[in-house]
Amino acid sequence: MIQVQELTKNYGAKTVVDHASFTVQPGIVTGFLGPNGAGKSTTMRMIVGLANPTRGQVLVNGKNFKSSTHPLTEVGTLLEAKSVHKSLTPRSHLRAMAATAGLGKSRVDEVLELTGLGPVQRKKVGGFSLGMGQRLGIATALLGDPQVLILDEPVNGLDPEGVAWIRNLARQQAAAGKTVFISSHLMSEMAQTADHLIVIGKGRIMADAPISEFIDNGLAQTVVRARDIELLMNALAAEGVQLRRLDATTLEVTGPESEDIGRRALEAGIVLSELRPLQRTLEDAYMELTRDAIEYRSQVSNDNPAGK
Amino acid sequence: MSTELAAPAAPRTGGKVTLGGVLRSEMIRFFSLNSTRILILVSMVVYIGIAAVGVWGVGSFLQSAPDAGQIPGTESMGTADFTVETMASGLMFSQLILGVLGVLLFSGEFTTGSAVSTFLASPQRLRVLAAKIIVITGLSAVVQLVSTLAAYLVCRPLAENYSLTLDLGGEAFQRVLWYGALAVVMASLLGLALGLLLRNSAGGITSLVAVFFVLPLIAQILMAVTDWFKDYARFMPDQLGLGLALPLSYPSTLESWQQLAGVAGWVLLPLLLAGILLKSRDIK
Repeated sequence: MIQVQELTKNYGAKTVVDHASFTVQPGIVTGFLGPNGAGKSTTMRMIVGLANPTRGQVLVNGKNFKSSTHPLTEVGTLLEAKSVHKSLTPRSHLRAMAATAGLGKSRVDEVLELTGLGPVQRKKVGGFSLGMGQRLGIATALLGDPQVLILDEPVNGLDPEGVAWIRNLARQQAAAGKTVFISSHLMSEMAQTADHLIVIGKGRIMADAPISEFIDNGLAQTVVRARDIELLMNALAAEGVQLRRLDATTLEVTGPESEDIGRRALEAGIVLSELRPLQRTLEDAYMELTRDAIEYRSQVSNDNPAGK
Repeated sequence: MSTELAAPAAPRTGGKVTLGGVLRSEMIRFFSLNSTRILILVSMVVYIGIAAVGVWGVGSFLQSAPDAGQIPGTESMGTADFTVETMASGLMFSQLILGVLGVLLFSGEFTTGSAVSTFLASPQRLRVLAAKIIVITGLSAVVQLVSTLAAYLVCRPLAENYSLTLDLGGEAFQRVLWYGALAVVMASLLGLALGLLLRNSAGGITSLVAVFFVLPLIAQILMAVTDWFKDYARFMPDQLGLGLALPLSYPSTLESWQQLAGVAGWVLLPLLLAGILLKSRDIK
């Protein structure tokens, strides 16, 4: 279990993580979702003691990781940056890591096998592709067969088979009762892996809920088209119903199910030329949540005609 | 890639991080890197090479000019101490090369990002520093002792050829052997501290060279124009270690204990500062 309490990190005047509080439970996969620069990596670095919090504290299995006597068996960590000396081979890197914690060579062979790095175990890490580096990072994280797995953007650079493998791995680890905390900036990825989602934007926790709530909590939305739009608006007006004119004949209705809308139109004798329920996807929910919290927004705007 | 998660074959008892474990880890990485092996080799070759050329040069000079000892400034030439110190002329280069090794031992962690792995495996940061201090101290001492003894083996026949004495048991040789190792250990620990403070290989090496070459130069100038600085100038790092090992070539007005205290200061203060900052700064 990871308990984050009022965690804050300032770099100079900039607040990267802002009073973040959440708990990552064992036995499930918890996704940590946010746009680039939202503070995901910084939060993870603070959890494992690489960055010192400006305020607040983090407990991993009830204690500060910095005082851990069994760090590698307690927490397995993969951070975004390649964290291996590039002149080392995967084998010597893992053997050095294992030696620190008194783990045997046999475990090194196991994780090399497990991550598919067996054939390149004596090649220098400097020549590795992003995907290979990522596999080595995962091998390092799994080395101590840890109780808590913290993976920062683990699918970066992996091929589809690798992505599926990570998903599988996360599920299995969680099923075995481990705490699994995975960050991503892609909702689609999290939707397939996580049971619980923590959404961060501009350093603040914006949502912390089971993944099912992200899909269900939005109200039904329907697009309705009718010639007698004014009449239709009168017929639909009720408490809990939001109406928005999209154009002369189109209306966006938030609140009632589309079947209700159809029935009321029938009762009022209005002919509908379109009745279309809007699918609210996880992606929409995520975009909505983080719309105002995107640090690096792409600059593609209409008022910049010729492009530059 | 196997999709099955290999269950641990047997319940693992390991996992406890100890200083011994961190030491083993440092050794594995140290000897897996080409750069460290190359630096150690270069240090030995340079030291032994300079020793052989030096002894041969002095020998042949004395042979061609038998009255050299009478010329002012050459009085000590041909003495046993002079021969030993000639053999040890490369000591400053050993200091520099193994000092660079010290810099790289820590700066490499930060330039390659492997510091992240290192401090995840041992979150107690000072334990990592302690392990690195032990590794670099042991290695640079052993390398220098081996270099000195190898230089002796190479120079002995050369010296005999020119009827010069090179005595393994003599006081001068023992000084060169042990204080020479100390001088090299000082440089490598200073390098380690600089590598950790600056977290950058080029910067660390440059500042090491600055401490050994530029600082003494500034000291010389200050000594020439001010009086009060003389006392401090004697504590320049280049003078201290070499003064202990090679008193004939680097005469010092300091007592041995003062020189030793100076060496300790140049090692402990930078390491202390580096240790304090290691604890408080973030690992990137």
